[in-house]
Amino acid sequence: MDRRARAVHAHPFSILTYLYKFLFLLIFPLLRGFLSALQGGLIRWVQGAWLDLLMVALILFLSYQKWNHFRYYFDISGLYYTQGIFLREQIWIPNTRISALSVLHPFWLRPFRIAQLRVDTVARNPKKADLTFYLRFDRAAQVLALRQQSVPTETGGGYAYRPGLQNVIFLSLFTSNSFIGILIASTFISQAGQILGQELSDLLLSVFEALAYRLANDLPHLTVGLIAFHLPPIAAGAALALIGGWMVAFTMSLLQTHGLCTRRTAELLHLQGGVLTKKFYQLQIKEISFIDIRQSLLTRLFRLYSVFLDGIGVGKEQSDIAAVIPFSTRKHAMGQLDRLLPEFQPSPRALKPNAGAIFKFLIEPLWPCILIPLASFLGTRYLPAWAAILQFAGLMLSIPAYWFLGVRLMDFFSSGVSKSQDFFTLRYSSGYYLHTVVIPSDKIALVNIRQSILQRGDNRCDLVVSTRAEGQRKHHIRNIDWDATTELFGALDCWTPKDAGIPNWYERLFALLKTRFLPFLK
Amino acid sequence: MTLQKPDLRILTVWRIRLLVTAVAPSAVTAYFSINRTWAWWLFSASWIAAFLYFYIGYYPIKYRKLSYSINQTCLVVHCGVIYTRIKAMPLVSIQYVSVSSTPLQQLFGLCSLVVYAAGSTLRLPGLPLQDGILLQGALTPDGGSHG
Repeated sequence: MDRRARAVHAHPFSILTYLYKFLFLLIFPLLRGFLSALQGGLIRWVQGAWLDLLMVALILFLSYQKWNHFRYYFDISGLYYTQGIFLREQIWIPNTRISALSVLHPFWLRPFRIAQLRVDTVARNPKKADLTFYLRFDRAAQVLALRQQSVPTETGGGYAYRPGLQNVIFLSLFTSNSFIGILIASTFISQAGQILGQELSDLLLSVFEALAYRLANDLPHLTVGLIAFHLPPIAAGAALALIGGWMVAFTMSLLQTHGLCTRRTAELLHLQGGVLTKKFYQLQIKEISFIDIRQSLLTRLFRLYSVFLDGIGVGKEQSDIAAVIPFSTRKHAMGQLDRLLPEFQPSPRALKPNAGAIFKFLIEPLWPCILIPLASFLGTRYLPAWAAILQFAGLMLSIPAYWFLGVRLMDFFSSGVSKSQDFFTLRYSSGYYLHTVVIPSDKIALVNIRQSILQRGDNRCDLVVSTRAEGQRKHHIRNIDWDATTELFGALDCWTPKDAGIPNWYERLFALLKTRFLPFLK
Repeated sequence: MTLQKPDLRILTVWRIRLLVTAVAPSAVTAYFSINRTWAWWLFSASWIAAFLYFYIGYYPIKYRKLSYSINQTCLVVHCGVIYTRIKAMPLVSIQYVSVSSTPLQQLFGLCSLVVYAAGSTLRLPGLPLQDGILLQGALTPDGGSHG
């Protein structure tokens, strides 16, 4: 029997997910309502209600047809699927071309035993999966098993690493972002207001306001006298929002990564974890673009390491698991990395910035470090009525500025480039994080070596490496030697600056004047 | 492959493009020339300065620094005006190559080569059309193109 005949439907739940694709048809009832309102006829609008019902029926019908026309078949050699109501497509993706196969079990679909399957290849849109559909739990497990059979595996299931809870907590502690938390919390409050009534939304906001006032008034008491001054309520509100946002982000991150387990078989890396949405990923080792050993200033000081992955189909969504080894000691992290991904071993740096480059590293964070305290000092001196809020704002803004300065200082002492066999190791900082990235040479998409006028004196350059993945990722290393860099990346040719250009008209004119008139003048 | 320079006519193309762009601000200057306020002087001086900067400075330097070569592993492009740059795209990363030309480039028999890799793009302007097609064939992974 051929694949087409064996292809089956996705889970009928997919019909609901297809509804949004046809929601644009609601524009017609909306337009009709608008015209009826202009002409002022309620009876006329009611008389035409059949058109609205017809549109709703059409949306349901099209969603059903879309589901009906989507069929898939998965076997050991790959995935076959057909789709499209009007434009029919038949697509065959060989297993060798599937970079990542993910199965997600969101908590709201678990009672119905429905799973989401995501298929990613190097092609198509880098921001979303190439194919996503819903299927039963048992079918999803079957697909994963078939996929595993399709690539060579070791007997005994390979090596598995399950980090302890404290490692996952550390990961969530150091990677949680307050602003994402604020965004989630504010969306929750606004949606709760819409669904459960405005009173609930108002209640949550008034509780927040009361807390902010309490914090503003009782700060010296709450901190047992450590902070002696009273905060303005607006500053207390901002601080409370940041702390609350961070706690929300921390909780979300913990729920996303709890139960993390990484397993290596011959050609595949299996990742699983999550509480609210259980996730299972299978990645081809050869499709991993790079590994990123990421550290913040604090984790660098505590000598803690965490290893993240970047590859096709990894980290496309905010909730995806990208960490293979959460925060742990250097010995532990490197040991696990050696067992899980022995190919990706960082090598000692060969090229590094010269001592004179320290200013280039520090110039960016130095300005806010000087200007913020200065502005705060001048503000409190000339605007005494605003002194408390200006002092607080100055203090709060200085912390990230000095933090950034610390990161750049660490970056200066650790950044550099090296190559070992076919793997490049790049050490650099980006924002508040220090990265040690190990890239296979065949995953490099573009090497951009650039030299500013100031760097010409000591023949230094900045290196920007773009990696080959679905999305664009750039790695920026500052102030390393130009000649050694071009040699390391094989970007050599017969070029020398003096013969690079062909003279322009004014250069030709100048040359003409020089040859014709200067001898004469002499 | 030794170092190659793009065709010198690309400098003329860039300058004509600049002249065409300059029509709009010059029309504004001409229209308001009856009532010459400080704003008129400032506007006119600004765009004339910008025009001269690009015509005499930026584009000649851009051309002067632009060159390319192919070694055993990479397509290497030298470029940059304020920064001196070397861009190296590994040949194994190249997905496909396109040859494109604007009407102005067509007038001068020139084209631009756009090299696409997964995760990056490299543009090489000012090639004679035949050279562009030859390079496209050489850089395309399967080696085949209409060239």
